[in-house]
Order: sequence, then C-alpha cells, then structure tokens
Amino acid sequence: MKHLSKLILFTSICSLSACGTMKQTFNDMRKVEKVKPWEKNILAKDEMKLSGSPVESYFDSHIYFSKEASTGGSGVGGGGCGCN
Amino acid sequence: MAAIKKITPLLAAASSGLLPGAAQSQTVYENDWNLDFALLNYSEEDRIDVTTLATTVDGRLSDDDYVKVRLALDTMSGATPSGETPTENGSTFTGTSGGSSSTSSSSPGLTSFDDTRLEFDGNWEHTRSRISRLNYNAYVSVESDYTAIGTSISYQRDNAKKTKTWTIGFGGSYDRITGPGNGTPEPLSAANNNITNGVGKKNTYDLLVGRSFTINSRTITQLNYSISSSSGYMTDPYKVYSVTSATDTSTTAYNESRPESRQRQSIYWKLVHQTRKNNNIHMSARYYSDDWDVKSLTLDYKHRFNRFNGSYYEPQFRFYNQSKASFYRQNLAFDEATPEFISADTRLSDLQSITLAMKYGYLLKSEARINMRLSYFYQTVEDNFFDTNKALTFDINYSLKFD
Repeated sequence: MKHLSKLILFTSICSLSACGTMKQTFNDMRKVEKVKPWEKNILAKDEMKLSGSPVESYFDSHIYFSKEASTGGSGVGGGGCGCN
Repeated sequence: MAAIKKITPLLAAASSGLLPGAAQSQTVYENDWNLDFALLNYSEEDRIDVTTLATTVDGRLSDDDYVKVRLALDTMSGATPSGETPTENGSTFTGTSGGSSSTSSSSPGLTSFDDTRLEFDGNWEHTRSRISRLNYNAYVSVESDYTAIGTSISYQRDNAKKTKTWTIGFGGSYDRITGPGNGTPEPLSAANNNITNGVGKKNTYDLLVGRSFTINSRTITQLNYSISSSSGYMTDPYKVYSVTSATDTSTTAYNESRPESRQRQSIYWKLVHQTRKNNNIHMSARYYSDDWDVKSLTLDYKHRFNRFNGSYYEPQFRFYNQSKASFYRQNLAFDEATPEFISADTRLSDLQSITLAMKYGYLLKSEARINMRLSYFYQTVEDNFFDTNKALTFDINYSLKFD
C-alpha cells in the first residue's frame, strides 16, 4: 500500500511536470517574434527543415499512396505507380 | 564543384580577418555532396511483401545550382484483395495483379502478384536571386503493367528578411496502364470472360500554392493549398466486384468501373519546433476532398529526442480517417440494377489507419550517419470482407557526405 501511494505520488508529479512542459512548449510555439538574421541558427539546422527527411517522406508517401485514397498536399511532383 | 572550391578558400580568408586567432587556420573545404543508400521492407500479415532499395545523390553543382537524383527499385510479391466477396463456397474469381497469374482458391478474395518497379527521379534547384529559387523535377516509374512519367516546376520567393516564403508549383504527369493480357478489362463485364480493351491512359495536372512563416527563432510553419485534376483511365484493371446469387451461396465477379475524371484538393499545414530542451517536434495536418466524395483527415506527429553524441530517437504517430467514394459498394445483390460506376476496392471504402513508429539515428563520424525505423501500420476497413490490415515496416538508410 505504501509502495502504491509512492507510485501514485510519483506518477502525479511526473504528469504535472509533463503537463507543465507541454504547456510551456505550446506557448513557445505560438509566441510570434521578429527573428533577426543572427537568431536563425536553430532554424537553419537539418532537423528543422519543413520537408523533413527526404528518404522517410519518399517511403511514407509510397506506402500511404498504396493503402489510402488521399494523396498529395506537401508538394508537387514525385513518382506515380500502380501499387496495390 | 569547381565553383565551390574557388569560393570556399575566399570565404575562409575573409572570415579569418573577422575571427581572432583564425588567421593561421588551414583552408577547410565543405563536404558538399551527399550519398544516401536506403532499404525498406514492408510486410503485411499474410498479404503483400515489398522490398525497396533507393539510392540518392545530392549536392551543389555551383553556388546557385543544387541537384538531387534518386534511383529506386521495388520488388513486390504476395496477395492483395481483389474486391471479390467470397462466400462459404469459396472464390470463383481467378485473377492476376501485376505480372504473374495466380489462383485464389487457398485465400478467397485475394489475388497473388509478383512485380518489379524501377523509378528515376531528378531534381534541380536554381537560385535566381538572393530571395528567389526555381525548382525543376522529372520522374519516370516503370513496372510490367504501369508506366508513369511526370514533371513539375515550382517557384519560391522569400521576403527581404527571409522570414516568409511564397511557393507556387505546377506539375503534370502521364500514366500508361495495362492489366491482364496487355490490355484493360472491359468495365462491368464478367471478369472470367476476359474481354479486354486497349491500353489505359491517364493525365494529371497539379497546382500548389504555399506560404511558410517563421514564427520565432525556434518555430517555423507552412500552409499549402493544392488542387489536382486527372482525366482518363482511372479504373483499377485488377479489381472486381461481386454480384450475389439469388440463394446467396455464390457470387460472380465483374470488372469494376470508375469515373474518367477526378478533381482533388487539399489543405496541408505543418509546424516544426525546437523545444527548450533542444528536442524537435514535427506536426502536420491535412484535409483532403475530391469529387468522388472521398474526404479525409491526416494527423502526423514526430518528436525527436536529441542526445549529446549526435544520436537521437524519434517516436512517431500518424492517424488517418477517410470517408468512402460515392460509388463504393462491397457487392451487388442479384436483382439490383448495375450502376454506371462501382468499385469494391478497400482503398475507396470508409477506413481508418494508425501508424506507430520508432526511429533511431546515429552519427557514425562527422561525414556519415545511419538512421533506422520500425513502423507498425494498422488499418480498419468498414463494409468489406477484409476489415483489417496490419503491416510491419523496417527501413534503414546510410548517409555519407563527401567532396
């Protein structure tokens, strides 16, 4: 019982902490600021590209094109196929 | 490459004057080219198995010209739903789907296939000015029963501060489709009668308008609107539908029939953010609709946890919900009139898909990286004999930078 109480307390603290982090992240995402050229170092990173990983996007679009009726949205061009 | 080599020492020399202590530094050439080998294995439970090998080379030809070339090879085998609704007496339809023939007696409602596809995709981005770029793309995809060629051009223009970008793109493609016996089956004819027409041809034109915004130093977002118009042969030459007998104990398979035009449109939104703990969030949403009455919503979320040594792990989640096409029917009763358009293809039904994935990336050395991903795909299909589909995907890619 004692262990269970500790577990519940620990889980509650973690949940509140995660909630707080999520709220902070959400606030950071929507905070509109003017970005100076020298403040773009993070935005210039590969992992910040809107296009994401090209290989991963290629594989994913190929699979979902074959299994679902919807396609496109993120760009124009790319290969078609008669995939089943 | 030659142009880069000329410029890099000049930049190094110029920057040495700005940075104290850098005057004696050696000239450093950037690794301008990237070579990527990727392997994917997609395996459905008791159905399709696909292995894809893809090689990509990309890099700068000059300060203003960036090129990317990809060559991919798919080998596909296994069984796929034909559209037929089997009864307790089994399946009456013997079909093919992409290459070799098969019988479906052991797996009612499924047709086996075995095919290989080769794809070439080339991309060239040309920088026109400090704030504008043109991107040209062309591709060819060839398999035994399907050939697709396409081209596109897109123009990107930044604002003066490079915090906002407009994108406009046009694309066109031509597809050539054949079914069993190097022709396409006569729509609505009995499948076992093997009445075939000529080769199916399809043209597609795409238009995309997009806008990206820098929200703050850690967040960037994008909003796209795209429309697409296709005309020509849109029917799947391997798909059939069933007509049940009066006693409901057997069915007869007929070739499906789809409209010869399709207008699609979608709104796509994406946001990329780096958290205060230097992890990356990629989230996107797409709303899609077309004049076949298919409407869908796609939500995608990726959270990359960066580790100190250049490695990372990235859990991914994707949700997809789709409403059925207006002419989708699982089967017809024997006394029902045959509609002009009908398809029992699972992909045109009401369906939901969920993908859970975990990706891991590791920096081998400064010029090489390896990424691997394991994904689980689960799909539920309503009003169909095959009401679920499960697939496991593993992909791995090795990326190497070189001069």
